[in-house]
Amino acid sequence: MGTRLYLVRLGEISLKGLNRPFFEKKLKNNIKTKLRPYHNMVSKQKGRLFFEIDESCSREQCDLAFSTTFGVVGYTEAVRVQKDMDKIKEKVREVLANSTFSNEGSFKVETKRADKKFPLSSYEISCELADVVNESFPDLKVSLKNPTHTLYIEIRNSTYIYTTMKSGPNGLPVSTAGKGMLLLSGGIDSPVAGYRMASRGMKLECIYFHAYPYTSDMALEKVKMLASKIAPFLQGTRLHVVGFTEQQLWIKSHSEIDETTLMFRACMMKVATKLAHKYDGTALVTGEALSQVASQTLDSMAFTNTTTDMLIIRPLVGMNKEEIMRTAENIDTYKTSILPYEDCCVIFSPKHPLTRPDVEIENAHYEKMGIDELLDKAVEETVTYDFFANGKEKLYSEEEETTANLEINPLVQE
Amino acid sequence: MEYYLDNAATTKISESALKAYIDTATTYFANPSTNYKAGQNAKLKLEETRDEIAKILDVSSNYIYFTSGGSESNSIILSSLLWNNSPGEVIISKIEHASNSEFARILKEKGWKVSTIDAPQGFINPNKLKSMMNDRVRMVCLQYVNNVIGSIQNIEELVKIVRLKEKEYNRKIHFHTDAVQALAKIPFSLKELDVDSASFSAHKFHGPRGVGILYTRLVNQQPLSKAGGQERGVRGGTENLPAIVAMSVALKEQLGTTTIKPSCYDRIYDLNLYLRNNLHTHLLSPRGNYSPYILAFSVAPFPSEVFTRMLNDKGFYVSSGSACSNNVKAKGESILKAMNYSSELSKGSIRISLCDKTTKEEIVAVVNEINNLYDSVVR
Repeated sequence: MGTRLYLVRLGEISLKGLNRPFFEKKLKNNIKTKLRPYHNMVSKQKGRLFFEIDESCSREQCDLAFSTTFGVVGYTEAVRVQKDMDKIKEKVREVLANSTFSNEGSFKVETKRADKKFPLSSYEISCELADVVNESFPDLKVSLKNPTHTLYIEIRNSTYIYTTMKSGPNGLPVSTAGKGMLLLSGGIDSPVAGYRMASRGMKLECIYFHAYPYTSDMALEKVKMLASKIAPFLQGTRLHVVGFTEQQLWIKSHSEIDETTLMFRACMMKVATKLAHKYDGTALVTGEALSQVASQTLDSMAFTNTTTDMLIIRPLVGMNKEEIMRTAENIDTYKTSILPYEDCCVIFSPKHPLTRPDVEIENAHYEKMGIDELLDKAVEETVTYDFFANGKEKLYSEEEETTANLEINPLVQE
Repeated sequence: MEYYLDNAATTKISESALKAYIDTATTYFANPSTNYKAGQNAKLKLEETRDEIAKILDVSSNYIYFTSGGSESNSIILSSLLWNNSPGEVIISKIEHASNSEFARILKEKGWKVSTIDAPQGFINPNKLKSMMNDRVRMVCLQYVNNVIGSIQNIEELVKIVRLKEKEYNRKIHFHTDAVQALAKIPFSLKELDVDSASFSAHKFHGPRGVGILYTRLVNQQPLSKAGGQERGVRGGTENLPAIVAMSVALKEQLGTTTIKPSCYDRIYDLNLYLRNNLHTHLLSPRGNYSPYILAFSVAPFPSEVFTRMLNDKGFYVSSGSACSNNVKAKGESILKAMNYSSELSKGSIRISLCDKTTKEEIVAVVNEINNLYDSVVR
């Protein structure tokens, strides 16, 4: 059985010092998870990981594995050949024949000579191989600044040849920076917030508050779709669905109408905190952006902070809606987020919510509601869904899922 | 227990219509446009059915064309305006079905003046129509029975206005009515209405989907699809004979052969009355000139989407006029606003629609459930 070779460029990880192996190992394992169940061998060299993957693993699955794993800066399918100029030239001819190279436009040969013992310099290698390119494509001109086509040569333990470099999502491998609980709402922002924190290596579990029949089951399905969409970036995730109907009705009848949104927030934070303790999370992650809605004013956020002892991370706090939407489109959550299933019923949304709450007054009002017991109940009755790193939901009704039937969800490719 | 009370959306196909469909599909499978015996038999069956339907509607079979349903029938009529040498004006009500109102946008784009006439509380004021008429108007398009609240327009009177104006301007003005919610629901005579064209759909009266009728007196009616010139050039494409025959069977079942009044009309009227007299909610349907098959009410300020979800969970399938969404406004809601109902009432609107199979028990049950819910969660 043959294999395909993939070369993976690492970015920030290469700058790490003594703990670099820790990051590299995580990255390697994160990619391997997504290549299951296919056999693959990994070797590493400075700034690069090399994957030799069983060729029965589809290119789509390989692409998904590399394009959704944080820590990958770029990746490409490459061919390997001995460090011998004649053999290299022969291989280059082969590669060019199967590449996007044509007689249109310009080209460049980019050589990286990591093995300094190789007799020719980078420049000399590039020159000799440019001649090979010209044999096949005589009309192609050289352009070092803005080439249409690029032939990449890397001289290391062997020679690696490739003509494209797809970009990865950058960042740091997931599970290198602790675990957070992401408050996933069904809107545009929260999946992006999760994506951002995952890009810094945070492991995430998601929490959704569901108030059936005030919010529809379609809204829950939408959130599950979102969890599934971000699951590859999150290296798989869990979605904790908190039934919140009784609690919302309680809040509605036990608080001032203009304060209800703040009280919901407080309750959600308290439930999220309890779930974080239960599942070993050390931070809460929200999609809040300053002043986007009434509950996201500075004063409201300050109040929210007093409702939990846990660190609240708001990765989007300083971002504009357009920037957030752009990321949502890139990670393919936007289309799902704008589906018209509301995550909060209008009867729970005050017309004029308080935007400049007083922390002490609101906390007193919260205490007066006497809702703690109901919140404990909500935590107890939470239903959890699991999503694999390929985005697929784990179905508990079935027998233990074998890795063989893990299908890959089509995800956006950068 | 399940209670299906959304018959204005669609009805369940009747057993005899389904049987007729299967029988026709088996016996008359040949293409009516072919010359051999089987094809000619199918052609005969098609024309026989056309005659039957024409007889029920008491009009000439020359005016009956089979289409894929109400939307296509409406589209054929409105699209024919695009063949005019120069654009003119069309008057259309604000409470039309989307197949008309969306087409009006196309006409607008093509240079037509589209004047919309409002319908406060569901009714078009004849004087208002009179005041809007002018010598540029080529077509008036007004719905017969409104699908959201069940109001019945006085089409005869509206047509008379147009006919008078025709004489005054000495030019033809086309009057089209979308009568999808009228056929086999309310008593009427197509002849006496004196409209130039009308649309009907089989699945609203227990016929199959994908088949309907276009009644048009226009001689040079332009088609949407020419294809093989079927339906005398008005609707190209192989005739859906099994569905057409099934539609005829369903229609006969509802109306009998001699009258245009549904045989169960009086019973449905009483059921509607029971709803009106016993529901605790705010009535949106008009108090007079309404189709007994449709009843709209509002649970405002409670959102209808949530209310219908609660009803769904108890097994009652009714229609919510509004979606609980900021992104998408439901059709019903915008139609209600066009009828001058407040935004709040519109957002809480719910529609119950009946059919000949609806029983008193079902109506009593739904009234009890609605009242229980309304009294406990809304009041």
